[in-house]
Amino acid sequence: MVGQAQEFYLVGRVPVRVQRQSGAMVVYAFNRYLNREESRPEYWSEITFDRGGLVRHVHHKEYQQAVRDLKAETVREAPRP
Amino acid sequence: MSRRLARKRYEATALGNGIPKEVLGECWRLYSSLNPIEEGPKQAGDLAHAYRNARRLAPAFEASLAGLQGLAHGRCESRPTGVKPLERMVEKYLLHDLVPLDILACKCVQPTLRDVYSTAAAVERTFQVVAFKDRFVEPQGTTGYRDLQFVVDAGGGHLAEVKVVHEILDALDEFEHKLYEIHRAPPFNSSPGTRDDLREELATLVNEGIVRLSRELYNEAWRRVLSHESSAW
Repeated sequence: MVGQAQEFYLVGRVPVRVQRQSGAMVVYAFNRYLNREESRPEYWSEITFDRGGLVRHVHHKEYQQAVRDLKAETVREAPRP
Repeated sequence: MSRRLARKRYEATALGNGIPKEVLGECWRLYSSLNPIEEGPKQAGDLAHAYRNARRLAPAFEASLAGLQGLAHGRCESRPTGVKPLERMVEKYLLHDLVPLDILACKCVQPTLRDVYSTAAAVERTFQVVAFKDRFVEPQGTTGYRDLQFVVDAGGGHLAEVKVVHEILDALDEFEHKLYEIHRAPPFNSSPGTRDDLREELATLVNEGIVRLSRELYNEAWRRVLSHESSAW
């Protein structure tokens, strides 16, 4: 999974993974409500233009930590039965 | 790292990005005395709370802006709508998973870099600055967009955004936003009868072209800023 073909970003609080393979690029954003990544090409425009200064290029470890933090927060926020 | 070395490195970065020597001292003062935006200042409360606060604080923010205009001259303006339009605010909230910092926002447009940096001091006198980023020294990585970006306390902990921009770069703003919109939704997405793989290929071509164009525009605009600057000093 980890290699030169991947880049990691935080767009605001959203962990985003950009995967390049054979000239093609796929942008995945972690959806904390679905608890999984989903393909979200519009995040590439956010990363490219970043007018709000909310985009950070991060290492894989920081990306993983951000995913863990969001998962934990979402579990805490979930309504109790 | 010692403060002296940190300053040397920062000033080297600034010079490398074309910042004139005459404003280096002010660049360093801002960088070394204000919190970086990268530390992630957060809006207090949820989206609805922040929106209500912004509407309540809008007149006071406008009055502060008039004060800033008095100190900085140039052209200082807030949004024509006062607060960020609701649908745009919700869209940004969903995209970033953050309550936006620019529900209240303004920009000050200045004709020279010297005026830009003297406006920075005026922003500090007018507002309590919570965080700061100098995108003249460290321009946006892909397009080369430059401004001074402040996050300020607009009252009671509600955060607002103040940008200080050069008039040449500001003149590109609307055009740049159109490029962003095309980049975000390439027109081929909805063309009927086009093969999916061809559509994707065309969209990639368009997007790469847009990024190149945007970068060239900002590079050229920056060259003009510096050329005007050398005659202004």
